[in-house]
Amino acid sequence: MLNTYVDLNIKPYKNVDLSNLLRIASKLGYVAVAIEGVDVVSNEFNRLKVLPRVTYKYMGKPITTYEGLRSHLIVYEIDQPTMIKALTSLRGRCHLIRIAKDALTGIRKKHINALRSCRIPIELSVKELISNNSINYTYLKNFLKLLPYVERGDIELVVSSYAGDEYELIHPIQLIALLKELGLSELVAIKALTGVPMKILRMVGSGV
Amino acid sequence: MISLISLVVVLTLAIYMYRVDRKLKMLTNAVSSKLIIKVLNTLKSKRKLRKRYIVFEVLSSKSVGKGELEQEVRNTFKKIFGDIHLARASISLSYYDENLNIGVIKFTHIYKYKVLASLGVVKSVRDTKVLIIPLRITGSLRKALKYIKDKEQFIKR
Repeated sequence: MLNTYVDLNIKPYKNVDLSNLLRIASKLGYVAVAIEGVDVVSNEFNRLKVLPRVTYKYMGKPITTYEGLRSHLIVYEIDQPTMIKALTSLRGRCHLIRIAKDALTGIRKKHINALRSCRIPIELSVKELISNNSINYTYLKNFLKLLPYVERGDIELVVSSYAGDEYELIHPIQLIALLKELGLSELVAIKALTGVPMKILRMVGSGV
Repeated sequence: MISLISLVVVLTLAIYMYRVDRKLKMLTNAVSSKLIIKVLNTLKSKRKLRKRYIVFEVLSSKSVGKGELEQEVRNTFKKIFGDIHLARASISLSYYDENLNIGVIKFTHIYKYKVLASLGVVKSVRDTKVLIIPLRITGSLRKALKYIKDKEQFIKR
């Protein structure tokens, strides 16, 4: 599983050259990426597997039908901590739950327990953690609350870049080093970039 | 005769080893494991600090100067890990080719992950967006420069 780094969240800006973005992602060592907001993408670019991604805002219950989204990565985004409830209804209906910045900053113990019980991988992005060549304190504070549960294996974590252009991408080795410095063990940090995303990719192949 | 002597020597050694082993076991039982860990940590911390050189490539929209880049890397490291670690890590930009956008950063070996993490956090240098890609970590500047030379030749080809 080593060196099979996957970035499950790339959301290019409107005027960004997508082929250049994918070229840099391939150069950084990623084997697969999931791209948001792009309708038609080739399946493979320079040995880099490209996957379309669809994100829905979670409003308390899941959408019942997904027409024409058989080979898409389906993600539910939670942007408020109060929405972190009844997540078990999402089981089997999405591949991933993305916790947005505002949701993470107001997270409490009961929300963490809800995330633990739903058994769906959680996505956190580095772009929100890093701001102005430094680490965002409020985001980090709540990010650190989740880490003991990730270390114990109660929550499956996926760390993605959420890059809008090629400069917002991050090298997987740097990301592993950052997670290690935040307190995760090296094995779990590598798993957040390789093992868990690869498991999700296999699920995408077989549909939701 | 020789075989007899060798047999005696082997037997003596075996008895001696057995006794030493027993003594060591007794000693380790006597000393608590916490103390052993403490002693080992002290020994580790007193080991010689070695230098490491990280070869990196910079992707940027505009060209970035050597001084600016070094300052930004230091500032980022300081923001994340603080002044004490910055002093201990002794980060310096040993080499930077502004045409190839490849450089070498020198640091202390125990700060490998901290330096890698801080390089990942550097996203801009004076309003210029940058992406720093680590290529290789070496134990000497000579090897780092050799790697750059090989890469340069590969690009020319």
